[in-house]
Amino acid sequence: MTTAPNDVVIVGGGVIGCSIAWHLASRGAGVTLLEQNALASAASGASAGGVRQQGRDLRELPLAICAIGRWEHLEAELDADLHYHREGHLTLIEDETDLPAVELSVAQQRAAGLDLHTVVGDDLRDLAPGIADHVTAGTYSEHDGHANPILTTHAFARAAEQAGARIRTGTTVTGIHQQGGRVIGVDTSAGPVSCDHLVLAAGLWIPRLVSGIGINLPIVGFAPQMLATRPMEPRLHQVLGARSRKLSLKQIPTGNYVIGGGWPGDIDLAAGVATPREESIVGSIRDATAVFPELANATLERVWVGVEALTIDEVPILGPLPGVDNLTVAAGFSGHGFALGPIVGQLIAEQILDGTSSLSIDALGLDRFAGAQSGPPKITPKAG
Amino acid sequence: MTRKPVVVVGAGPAGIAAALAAAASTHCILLDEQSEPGGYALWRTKSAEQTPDVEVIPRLREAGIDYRPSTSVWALFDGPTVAAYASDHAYTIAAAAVVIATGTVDCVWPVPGWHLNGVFTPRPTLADLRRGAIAPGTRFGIVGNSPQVRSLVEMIKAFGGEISKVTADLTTTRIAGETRVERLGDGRGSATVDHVVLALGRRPDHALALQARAASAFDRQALVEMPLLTGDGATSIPGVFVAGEAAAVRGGDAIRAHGKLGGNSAARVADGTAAPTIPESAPPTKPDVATWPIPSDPETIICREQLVDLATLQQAIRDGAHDVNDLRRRTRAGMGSGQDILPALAALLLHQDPAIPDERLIARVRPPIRPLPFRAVLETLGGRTA
Repeated sequence: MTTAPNDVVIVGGGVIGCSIAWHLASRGAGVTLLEQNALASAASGASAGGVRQQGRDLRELPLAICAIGRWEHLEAELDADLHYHREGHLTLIEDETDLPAVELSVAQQRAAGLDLHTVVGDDLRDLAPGIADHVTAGTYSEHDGHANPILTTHAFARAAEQAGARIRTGTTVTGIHQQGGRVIGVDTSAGPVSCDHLVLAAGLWIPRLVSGIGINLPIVGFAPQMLATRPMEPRLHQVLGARSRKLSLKQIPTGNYVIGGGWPGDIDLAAGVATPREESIVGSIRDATAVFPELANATLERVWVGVEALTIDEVPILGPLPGVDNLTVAAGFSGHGFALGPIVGQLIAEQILDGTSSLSIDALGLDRFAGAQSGPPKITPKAG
Repeated sequence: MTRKPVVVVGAGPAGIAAALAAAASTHCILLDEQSEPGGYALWRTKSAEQTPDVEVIPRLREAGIDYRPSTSVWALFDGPTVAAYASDHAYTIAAAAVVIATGTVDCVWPVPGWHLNGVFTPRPTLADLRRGAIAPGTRFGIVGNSPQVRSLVEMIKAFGGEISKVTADLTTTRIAGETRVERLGDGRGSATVDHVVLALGRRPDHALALQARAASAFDRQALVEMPLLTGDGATSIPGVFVAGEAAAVRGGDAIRAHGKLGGNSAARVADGTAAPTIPESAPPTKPDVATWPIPSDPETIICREQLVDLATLQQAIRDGAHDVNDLRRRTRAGMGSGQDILPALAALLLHQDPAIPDERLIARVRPPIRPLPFRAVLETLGGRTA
């Protein structure tokens, strides 16, 4: 394909949809983004904000490494403060018998190009004072960090609008129109919208949309729960994860600790709400304090829950949907899509406008599930 | 098998009446944040020693009520499951029914300078007076014309404070100072002050019912979300009731009667004889916050917890902030302990678009509705107590 389609409709106003809108619009494509609620009101609004390479599936790791290169210049590119801090990500190991498996995983990730190494003893305490005494080791990825997902989503949207994109919030897409194996438009709560290409970046709301045109996506809902403490003295620079816990712990610029990592809340998709779960609040507090004991002095100020789309293999589905010429999906980020936002936007835009992308996303296509047993995934997702 | 208890949250007049009514037929636990019973009346007594009703504790004991002072409730889960903490331990009570009798909170409203140190609502001011934490001769300014003003003036004088200025004109009120309050002014002049009290009235505190996701409506006069209630205070959630001032009932006898009604109904839920009811309306709430003026100075701090000014909020609304939750996400105003200004955020959205649907004015109320010390959770590791 050499001629750019002049009208791309994107469904979903999270960080992924807004990044796709920016990358398309900045290259001159006519873009309309439709969001049923407000920008960053579902998964992106509840993201922990991790910008992490380590610990990813090897199919996803090349994207994460490229994404870090984009993050380095993203605030300048979007002319916005994204609260991006790159002070490293440490995954803590509490059981010595895990070390052989950890070393193997470190070797694999290094072979894939990630600057990752194991830190032990005094080096670990020097790196991150405050880590519990029983923690044996950590795998340290120096260039990982965190940013503010809401600021980032809005910055992409604002840049896209300045490049000519139209962003329509409060607009629900209710159906997809096809003709001769092509999408010709969508029905919305504000009337029909026609398009030459349709991009679905609406997370958990996509399966219902595409089931109307006979496509089954292996995506289920997941409600990652996040906690924030009252502000405390600056102390923790890195993002902490833990090999044997559902934990992502960071201290944001305002001094609050933000705790996530996959403890679940409850989703009521019909009502469009996700609600906190008591045992997950207790579990998160217990996990965070176990590896970072001074949090025992913290006070819980806020709890919130996101609505995430999770795939069977916990790796996103990116690219064209089979059987329809001009329909692209970017979904199922399974709790770790925020960091990939810049690169996913770039690659999807390249695929639509150039017919190919500068970094292959073939391994992330829907066709990887062909012939696979589908069923509810077994899940211990590591958010953000 | 022991029967599940009725839990009453709040030991003010409504909560005490509810607990006494419930305890007549079932086991009742009465939780209260304060160290002694009495509710709002406690704030107005002249010293820490003077309890408004010294007979209360023996009466609770005689009735067999398990009264637990200095205990905060931070959430309801799965309907009437009460998550509480006291000093250094947290616990959960699987109750048959809960009566939320949490009274009122002091209203706030942004006026220029209200974010300065030395600006308080009546309750912390009264607490400081009682503790002797305010020096005699301290010069007070008071903003508001609510019924709180008269008793506040009496209390300040009784503790040796001076009243330098009282103003009810929110449109021209301006609090000035470097980091602390120094002057309070309005259209008729200004005075030197050390301490300013925003005495704008009280509004129902039913955050627990909203956090539990009781069906609700937005009150466009008070600019707050109100749970829908039946006559006895039943919410849409089986076994969850709201009683007394938390249910917008006013006046001593009416509050006690409403508490008794709620306590009786809660006890009927506990013994399995209650007929299900579906609330259809929310009681009208005071004060009439919708008439309060939006500040004209764009530099006025609206959220004093997150230090967000009017210009920033108006820009976010012009940028397309879709609803009150979106406005909070975009600006951080009204996050964390800044939730007291949610009515002001609703007013800004309504000012921009009077036709905005109610559901866009409703902010999500999530746990914890009281700050929860990690230490309390760690002590119990989530153990359940009944």
